[in-house]
Amino acid sequence: MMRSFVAALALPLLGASIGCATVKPYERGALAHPTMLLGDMSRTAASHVYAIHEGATGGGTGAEGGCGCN
Amino acid sequence: MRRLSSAMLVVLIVARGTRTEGSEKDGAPPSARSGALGVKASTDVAGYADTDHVIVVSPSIAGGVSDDVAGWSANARYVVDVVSAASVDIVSTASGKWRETRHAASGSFNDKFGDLALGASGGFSSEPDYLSLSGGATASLDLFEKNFTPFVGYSHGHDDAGRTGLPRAFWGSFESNDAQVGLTFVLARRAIASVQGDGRFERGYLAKPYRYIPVFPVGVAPLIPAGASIDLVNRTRLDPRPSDQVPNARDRWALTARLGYRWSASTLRLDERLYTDDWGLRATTTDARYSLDLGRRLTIWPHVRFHAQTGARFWRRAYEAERAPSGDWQLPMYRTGDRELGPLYTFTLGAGARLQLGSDVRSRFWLVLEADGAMTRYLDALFLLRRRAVFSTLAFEAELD
Repeated sequence: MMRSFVAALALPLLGASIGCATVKPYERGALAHPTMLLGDMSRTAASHVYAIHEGATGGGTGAEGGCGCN
Repeated sequence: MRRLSSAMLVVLIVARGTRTEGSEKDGAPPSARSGALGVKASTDVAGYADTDHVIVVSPSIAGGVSDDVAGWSANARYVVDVVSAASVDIVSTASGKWRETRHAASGSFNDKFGDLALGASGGFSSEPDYLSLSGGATASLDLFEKNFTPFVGYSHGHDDAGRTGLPRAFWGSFESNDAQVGLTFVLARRAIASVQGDGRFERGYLAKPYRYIPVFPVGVAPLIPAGASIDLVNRTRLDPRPSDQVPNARDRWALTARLGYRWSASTLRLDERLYTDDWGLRATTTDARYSLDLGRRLTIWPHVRFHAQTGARFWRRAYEAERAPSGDWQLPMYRTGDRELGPLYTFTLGAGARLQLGSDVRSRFWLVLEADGAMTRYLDALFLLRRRAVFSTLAFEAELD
């Protein structure tokens, strides 16, 4: 399962590396907007509800980055 | 685990010390590398109620200190859950309504060292029959003028689960290790995306200590319909009612993609998570939110989420048992009544609003209201065919310099 998972993860990462634009810092007004932070959209209580209602886990954002700000 | 958290904090502190020395060598006074402290504080009350007679009220407080110029921040949060339940699982075991309080606290510290960001976090959750401790670390690196940000994360958890009143020596426990790797990347001036993989590895007692599983004579179990009533189950089941029992190891994997697109006054966020584990459960979760700015002070958003999953390999609506020639009951090795291990789908629809308070548009106080309704359809479970739930949060947030 580990190999399949690594392959499934590597494919989009490779695509991202090839297909991305280089945006200059002064062009990032939209990217720096607070709603563009790619963290979990749910508030803590809602996340807790989802964790209990759903048999799946993962996708949380222990590390965040790439908002273009700071 | 405490040693792990302490070690991570020591690493961050030492790294900060090293950077300060570097600043002095550069000839820049330390104050030139730090700005004014920003303080954030918030308090909220969340509520949950469902058609299975579960009600939860959760007040919480949170606070944080940060220096955006220096790049560090520290945050903490404390929440209390007051749970009142008379769900079908409780009633079916002839137990009465119960009430319980959970206390949970978490904290994190993050710092930036040039393009490298490091973070450490820890948390605990305690209730009369459950204790959870966790600690972790994250790292991310800005590359190519912050157009690519790969990140990794790791956390370790220790959970003890028992029954209220049962001596701790008889509680079960399990360890969990979570690993995360991913990449956030800028797609265009208005678009950003991320891809991440998560692996979670659980070892130990993973069953539910309060669940007792009805078992049926061979040949009868297939005749028990989904959603069968407590009365029907009690009339047809065998005498033994074994406790929940599942494998003591579980490897869980998730692949998540996120996309954000910003128009002049609105933002679309799309998340998709694919999940699989070695218990045979497969799931997909799609989450979308469209934030719309109505003026400078008010943002509203509709929200939709859909989750669907298959059941675990050992999931059965009705388990069978029979007597061995010796007279002992031959029970299925693995049996569970945890409906979240069975096939189901959940559809959630909600909305929220965030209002900046005060007449001065520069004031930094917000009121946030969020409400969702969820409908879960259990495709192959006893007692329940569907559950409807509503949950909401009312929050007050402040930012102070």
